[in-house]
Amino acid sequence: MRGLGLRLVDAVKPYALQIVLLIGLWWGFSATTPLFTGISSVYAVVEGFAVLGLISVGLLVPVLAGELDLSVAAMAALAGGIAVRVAGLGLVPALAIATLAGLVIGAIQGGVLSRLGISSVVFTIGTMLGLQGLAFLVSDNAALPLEDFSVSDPLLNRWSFLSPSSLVAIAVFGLVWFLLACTKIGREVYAFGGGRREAAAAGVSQLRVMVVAFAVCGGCAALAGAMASIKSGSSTPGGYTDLLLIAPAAILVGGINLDGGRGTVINVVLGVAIISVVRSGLGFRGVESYIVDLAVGGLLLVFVVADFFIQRAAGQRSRARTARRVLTG
Amino acid sequence: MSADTSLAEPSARAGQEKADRTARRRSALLRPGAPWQLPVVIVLVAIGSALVTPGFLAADNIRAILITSSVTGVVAVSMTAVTLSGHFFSLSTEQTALLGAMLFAWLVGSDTPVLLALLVTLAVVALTGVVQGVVVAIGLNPIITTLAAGSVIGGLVAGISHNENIMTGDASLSWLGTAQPLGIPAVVIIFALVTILCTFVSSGTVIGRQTLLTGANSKAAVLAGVPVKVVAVVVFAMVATGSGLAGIMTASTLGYASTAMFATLTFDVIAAVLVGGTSIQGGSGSPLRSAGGAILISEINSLMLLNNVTSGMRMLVQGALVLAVIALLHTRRTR
Repeated sequence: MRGLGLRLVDAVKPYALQIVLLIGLWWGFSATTPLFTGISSVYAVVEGFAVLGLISVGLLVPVLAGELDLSVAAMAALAGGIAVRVAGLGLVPALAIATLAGLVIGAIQGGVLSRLGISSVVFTIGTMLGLQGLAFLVSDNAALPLEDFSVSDPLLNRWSFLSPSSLVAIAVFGLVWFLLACTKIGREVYAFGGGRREAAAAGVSQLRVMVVAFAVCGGCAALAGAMASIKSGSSTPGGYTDLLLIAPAAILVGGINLDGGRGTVINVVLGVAIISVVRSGLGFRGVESYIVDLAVGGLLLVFVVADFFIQRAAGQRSRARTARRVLTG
Repeated sequence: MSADTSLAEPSARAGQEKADRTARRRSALLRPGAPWQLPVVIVLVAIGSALVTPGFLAADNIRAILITSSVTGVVAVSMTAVTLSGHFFSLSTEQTALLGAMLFAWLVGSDTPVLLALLVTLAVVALTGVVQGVVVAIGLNPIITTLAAGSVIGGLVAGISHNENIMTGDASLSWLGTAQPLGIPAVVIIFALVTILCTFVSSGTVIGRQTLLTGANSKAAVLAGVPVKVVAVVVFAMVATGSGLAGIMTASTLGYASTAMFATLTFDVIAAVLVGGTSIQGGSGSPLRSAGGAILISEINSLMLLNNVTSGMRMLVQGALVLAVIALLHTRRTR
């Protein structure tokens, strides 16, 4: 009995800060925002997983490998355009084609990055500009509406606090969890992010890790953009720019360090939930979008600075403990 | 060098060394990204554009190209120090420029003397840069820090101004947009002055040298006693000041400031720095290069605008140009 309790504590401990933050924010918003209660608030928060969650969980893979992909927002916009263009084929084929495009573009990005050996931040800023341009071209430089709105009907269902898009997102979370926790390539991603030279010495292929990481990231972003565009009935080639901030924000607030090698899907779930509570909580209060940006940016800054000092204090405590143990024998 | 060259006659060895040096110098000249190449590309593109687009080299069009490049250019030139120091980029330039434009317009509009308004605005934007620099100096990711700071600054500006346009309300300011001493628009002169100033700071001052060393090898810089944290604060203060100045220039020229301004500034600036050829890893490059990058991009944009190329295609071309330059220039210098 005691063993189980301890194991549970050990399992929850790494996520304690995020859980407290999530509960605190949720409680705070539901106490101060009359509309933010019951099933509708849960629905709003879970809906956040459909776009932000999908993109963040995809972004997790390159982040674990020690890289960053800033092209996700443009990828979502482009995939939205592609999905609307081919929507005549039906919902599932349209989503599949858009996602496949994202996977392929992501894989190419990963491959080129691995070949060139340059900073992914800089490279993905370049691809972001290019993909953004492609998104406008695919959508004829404007929001492209669906020709047949019945295509989006299945996406408009709602069961309690779940929707088809959030269910798809949850399934993708499961897939990414499986990829990272249960497959060889998943372990290689962690190894690669934890220590590049050591991983290479142990026979981890950089090309394989980078291709898989950026393909997953691109695919997830594309799926998110495709679902959102079909659901809303038109593509938004200039849209999703806010994701440039909030997708990395969800990962960081979830407790993942951008250095790579550490973090799980659970971190992303918590991070996305926290950001989603803030966004939908403020949304229920009817504030303007720039206030939401301000709140997310502020939360992120406060969180990363506070986390930095907590980590440093913890590091000093553990060093002091080691020193004491060494000195007292 | 093989063993028998070292046994050769001293004069022969000296000749060999001289030949080596010339060869090295020649290969440095031919290396992609050597300093002479960017101006040549700018001239070649201008000649090529003039051939396909009559009127491209008309004085008015050249002036227009320089005017459009000057706002991006001022920010790109002041951003170069951030890149040189190895902190990649600042992603908050758009919102900082907005802050500069709105604050300046509001101050001038409420009858503050222009010089005082200028100084107050620059001081405020510099302060935002100092704060970001401190956060980066303690060890946080510069991309995330500046993204978050950007959304906070943008949110505050939009919140305080209620997203309304602010008029400068002072006709005496429009000279910035219309004055053309010797036929050169005032904003272009400011661009040139800022470029000279930043290039001087980068290569002729202690802090500039320290910035380069920090970017080239931060561990060695720490060991050599370079205050790398001070460097971080200074470079982010520089880019924030440059962005604020760009905001002031825009507000003065147009006579108003609006939250819809500068929508693509951040990435235009990054494109200019990258196309200019400053090393992404830091440690090599110069503000002068970024100025060239800004002019080249503005030139290509002008060519596409004159030929009715759609905005999506223009973005695609800009992205492709940046990627091509990255692939050409920035891969060989990886460590």
